Amino acid sequence: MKLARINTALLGFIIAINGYLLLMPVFPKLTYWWQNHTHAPTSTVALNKKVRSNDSLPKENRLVAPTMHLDDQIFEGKDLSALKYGPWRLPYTSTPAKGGNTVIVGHRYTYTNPQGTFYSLDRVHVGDQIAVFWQHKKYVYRVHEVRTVTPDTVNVEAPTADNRLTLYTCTPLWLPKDRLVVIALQESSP
Amino acid sequence: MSERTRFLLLSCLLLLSLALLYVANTALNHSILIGR
Repeated sequence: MKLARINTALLGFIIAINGYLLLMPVFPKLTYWWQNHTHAPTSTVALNKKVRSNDSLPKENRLVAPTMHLDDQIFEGKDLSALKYGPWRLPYTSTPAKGGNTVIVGHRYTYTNPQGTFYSLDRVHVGDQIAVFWQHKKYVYRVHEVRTVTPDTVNVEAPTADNRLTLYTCTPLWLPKDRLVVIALQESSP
Repeated sequence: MSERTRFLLLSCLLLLSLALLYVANTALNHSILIGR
């Protein structure tokens, strides 16, 4: 009788673990769908809002991509551990203030935090706007190119003469063997 | 099937599920950097 109760508990644990394993990766997709159908992305408002003074800008560096409902802090760090917090600017690439190629990367999906920094990067298309709030200044970019590359295509991180923002993550979602790269050219600067 | 056999089977399945969760999380947490 006692063993029967333990077996029931074990079965419950197995169902819970496998349910978590299967359903959690779909959760960001459901969140995206819900945000798309219930209200306009708040980040669009933030992006289009006229900034009258530097006081109204966020204090921390932020990446705002309305198409993918992303409005997240950009983290700095010397190694991959920074990816645990959210979008990470690669330290050996430029910054919006310096110009050139600013490269920001993020996990597509992880079971631990953050669960889907660039989960919806595949929703971004040519012509979409992306903003970066960097050191109390706003830089607006327009997506110029979206492409999938192999993990050895190092030229996407190379310095450029034009001012651009490069975002990339893993693709496809379940068997991440390639990288999805979004290249946006600077449209306006402070 | 006896309760004892069921217990052994469910224990194995639980361990297998935990291993699967660990493998899936490790695989998704891999280095995403290009060229590295």
